[in-house]
Amino acid sequence: MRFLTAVAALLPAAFALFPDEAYKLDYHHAALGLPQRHATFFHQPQRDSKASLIYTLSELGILGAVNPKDGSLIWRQNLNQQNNSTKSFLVPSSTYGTVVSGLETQIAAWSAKDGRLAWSKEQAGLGNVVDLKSLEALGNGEVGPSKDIIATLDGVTATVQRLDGNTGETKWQYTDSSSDSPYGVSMSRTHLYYISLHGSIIGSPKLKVTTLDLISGQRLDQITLSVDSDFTSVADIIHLDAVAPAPILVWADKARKNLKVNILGTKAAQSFPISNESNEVIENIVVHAADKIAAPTHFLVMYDAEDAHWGEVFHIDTGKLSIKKAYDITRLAGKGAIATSVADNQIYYTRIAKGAFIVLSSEKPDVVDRYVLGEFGVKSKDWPAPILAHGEINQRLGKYAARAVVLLSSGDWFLTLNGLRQWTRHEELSYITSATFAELPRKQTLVQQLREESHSTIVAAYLHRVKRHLAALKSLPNYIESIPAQIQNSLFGNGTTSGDKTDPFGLHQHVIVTTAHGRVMALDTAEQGKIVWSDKIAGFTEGETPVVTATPHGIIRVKTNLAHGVYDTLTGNFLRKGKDTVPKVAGTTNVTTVRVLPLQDRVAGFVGEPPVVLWTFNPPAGSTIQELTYRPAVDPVSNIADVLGDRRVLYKYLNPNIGLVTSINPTAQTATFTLLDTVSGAVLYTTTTPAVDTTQPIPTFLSENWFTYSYTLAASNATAARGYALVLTKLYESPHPDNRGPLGTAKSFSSLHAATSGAAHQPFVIARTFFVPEQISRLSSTRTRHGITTRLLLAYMPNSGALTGIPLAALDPRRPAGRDPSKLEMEEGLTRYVPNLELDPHWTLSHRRNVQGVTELLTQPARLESTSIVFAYGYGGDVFGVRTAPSGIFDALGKEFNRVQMIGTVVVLLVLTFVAVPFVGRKGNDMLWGMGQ
Amino acid sequence: MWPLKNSALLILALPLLVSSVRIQIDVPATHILANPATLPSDTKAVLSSNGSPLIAPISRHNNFVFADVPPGSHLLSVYSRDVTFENLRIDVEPSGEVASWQTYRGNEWTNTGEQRGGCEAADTQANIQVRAVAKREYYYDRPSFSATSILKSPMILIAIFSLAMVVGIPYIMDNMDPEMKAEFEAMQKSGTGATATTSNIQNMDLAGDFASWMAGKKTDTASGGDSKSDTQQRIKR
Repeated sequence: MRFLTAVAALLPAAFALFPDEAYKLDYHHAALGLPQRHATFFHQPQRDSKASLIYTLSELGILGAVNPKDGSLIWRQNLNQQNNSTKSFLVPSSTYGTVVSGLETQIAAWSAKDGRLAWSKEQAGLGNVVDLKSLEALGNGEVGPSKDIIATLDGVTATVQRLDGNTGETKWQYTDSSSDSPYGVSMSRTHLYYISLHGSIIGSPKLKVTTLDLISGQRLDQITLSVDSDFTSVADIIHLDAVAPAPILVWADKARKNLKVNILGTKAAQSFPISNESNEVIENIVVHAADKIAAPTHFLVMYDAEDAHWGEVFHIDTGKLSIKKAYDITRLAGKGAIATSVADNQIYYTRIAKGAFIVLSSEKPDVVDRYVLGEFGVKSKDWPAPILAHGEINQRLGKYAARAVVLLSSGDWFLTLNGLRQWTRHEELSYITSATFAELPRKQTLVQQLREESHSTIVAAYLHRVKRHLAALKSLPNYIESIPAQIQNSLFGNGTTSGDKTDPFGLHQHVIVTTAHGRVMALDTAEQGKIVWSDKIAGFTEGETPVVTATPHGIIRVKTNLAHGVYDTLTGNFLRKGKDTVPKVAGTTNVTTVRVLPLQDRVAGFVGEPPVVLWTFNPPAGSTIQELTYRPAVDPVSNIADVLGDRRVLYKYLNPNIGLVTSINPTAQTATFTLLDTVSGAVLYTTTTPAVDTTQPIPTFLSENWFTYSYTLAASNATAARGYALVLTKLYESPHPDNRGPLGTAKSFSSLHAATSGAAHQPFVIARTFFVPEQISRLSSTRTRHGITTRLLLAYMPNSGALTGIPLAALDPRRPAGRDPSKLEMEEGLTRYVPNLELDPHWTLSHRRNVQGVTELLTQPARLESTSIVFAYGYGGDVFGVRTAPSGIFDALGKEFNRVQMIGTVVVLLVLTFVAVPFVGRKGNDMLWGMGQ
Repeated sequence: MWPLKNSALLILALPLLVSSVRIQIDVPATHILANPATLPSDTKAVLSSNGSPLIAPISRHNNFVFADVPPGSHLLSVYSRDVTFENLRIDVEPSGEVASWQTYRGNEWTNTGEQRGGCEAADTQANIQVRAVAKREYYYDRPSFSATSILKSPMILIAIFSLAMVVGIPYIMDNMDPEMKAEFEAMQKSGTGATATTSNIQNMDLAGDFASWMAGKKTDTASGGDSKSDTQQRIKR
């Protein structure tokens, strides 16, 4: 033991991350969310830069710049969208090298190159931003040098503002004193058109077009357009040109028979019958316009039906202010998306549909270029359809290079260059509602087969054996074929991620996730979180929160409110509809199951069917229950006691049925942590912490014989310390070494029959509080197969986006306080307690990555005892996964093991030996003869 | 497990925020952070008192701007991937006066350090400086293979020394003057001196079959004869 301690001291730091392992053992999906049609564009970050980036403000309110080469995120800012239904906007402002975002009451400009804030404007009194335009789109059309921003806000009285593009200061402001609901603005070279809907209960609704002077903001003119009475809100407007020589406003009648187009400034709308030969129900109408002042005045209207899409191209005569239909866009089956791009003063439409990548010109119906659209790069069981596309086109020597980022209905966002996929971002991973590690079905092992043989008759066993050998023979050619690759991999590869399905180390674990849009996906933890399969959840309806649970033997269950499906973990095949079983089991006894239900004001234990209340736990007066946590269902403990320096032991209090109740009292600013025996309802330990900011997260975690929680210190007391605290509490059977207290030599115990077994005695509790530098919002711990490896306490810190693994030894509550450790304590590895716990950056599992929005931490043991697999996710946040070895990889060869060098050394030694043979022989001979003389 | 929504509390707290001030926090260049412009765009400043904290992203001008800070005593923390920043205590008086100090984690809130700037009640903006205190290192260097590190190992040093002895001693013997040699041999015979090189070879750990194989005695080993005794017999002859 002493020797082992000495060896352990010689080892490098327990957990160590090396630069060559970072970004390889871990993977990260940085969440953007689904891109929005009107807030996504290709744009050059600086005036003089050649390459453009893709900028998007997603429906999650996350603004990001994506590299079109590989799909990586260059920068992002979370604009903290509070309300999901509000619209958000993004426009470029390249004169000042920024992109300007508008979300709720905030308008902010961000450096396009690196994502730093240029200016920000918060106008709580003026309402939410409903439209944002950049005057830059006018190009040289605008009079004067400034490239400003026009914002429309929907306060009590709607407001149109012209903001200085450099500073965000208001240059002029037009207030619409009527109670109209504002829609937005459109610009021509000289005028600004402000569109609002005048909807009175008595009269019929009317669209108002107010012409404003671009320079002064003065109202010049107002035109009222009559619309059908079923036109209820501004959401019924299909399209408003951002900028055009003759901007148009488009809407349709409710029946979707006629399209109404108004050239702004004219007094009437022109009506066009919608071509719909097969009389399908048109689900969606989208207008694609160039949004460039210099481009031809053409526009494309696309119609989406359930299983087909088609369109019409219109040309506007700016002189006569008339519109005529130019040609039809062929009807194609399924869904399709159009990306509009302008090159050489021509409008090109890149049409993406199943198998087709077609470039069209707005001028004439001929196909300009046509490519076969390869695979979408998504392993999906269903056929996701393209629903949104943004593109760029370049013409060189009559050849077109068209690239487009396409959003699929599966939430995958991919870039295609002339029909070839370049990369895919799985944006659906930002909408995870539940996730679980799932065991893969194992093949019948050799051990099982041999057992089968030994349990049958001789003849049967012999036949079975012959069959087994024949089966093995079949795989021989494959095996021989794979030898060179295996050797190469073991010599030059990293040896652990060979990608073969035998997976002796148990690193290829699948994480099954369900998303808010009704998808179920499997991620391979050993291959950078690659999506193994993806499918729609059968019977899913919008707005539900699907939940996934895994059962052994390679089966997962996905439940929504109405549906319950059973899937195969390995392939994702839908197996059958599931049957609902009894709710989650919290604790079990020999006789029956006690179910625990946490309620707002109490925790109750039930037994039997129909449930009978066995016990209730009431929190202290004035407190409400915030959380109830249990020990993980699989929580192996290898050592039932802690060994002291003098070889005596302190027995751990190991009760599988304990639960930790967190209750908070917001008025008194206290938090109470109560440890319950969930079978008997007995209170084992309770503590009340004063000065807790109860509005901030209080994460808890319970495992083995310890629990931990973290909280933010309240600012109520003028003198008390401020910051964040982390508490670790350990439970022992008794305070005395080699003593189990009332349990004595008992082999088993019962929670219910305390009197006879003495098990319901209070554990001996010892706790220590540490000040940590950052707020912790989630706590968990690494888990290994047998629980031999030391553990890391996983703490997610939302402010720095870091997932840290704190060695449990650093938090040991038995660290002596106020004195140096004695010799025995030193031998045990205990150091003097200091209240400040510095979180060493080397402990950061997420190292240089910024992992945002994690709400759940999952851990799973690998088959290697040294290794634990960690998966972090959150709705609206990132996915982060890492493989960690808290005590170092002691059971597999690491990367530092150089096989080539080892083989080289052996070979050199052999050669030297053979070379030395004649010399030694001659020498020995000479010596013998010499001695004999 | 069901986290409670605290938004109701926040709404209740809002009307209490009567007057507020604008605070600009600058990041000066120091020897730890030579160029603040290299800080990544996800660097942010968090100003916390009771309830939801205020958050400001880093700007193009290497500063953080909090446009509306309510009166109270706030804790400022700045989080960045590359460097660790000091914590500041920022007091905003209802009058609009702002003062700031260094503060130390785990210490009493009244235990403040150096002043870091502020403003008078009449000023429109408070300017405060926050400094980087340490660089953040995330990776360990992997111990790489190097010849010198091998040479430094005591095992290798011992091996080299003994090799030198094995090779060198016969030469020393040869170059000794005859009188010394005779004396040395006499010492050897009496058994007090160094053992003879031959028996040295024979008694080496690698001895036995391997040594005799090296000496070219294949037949002896093959015939199963004890090569050691065989050699000794020959010596006697």
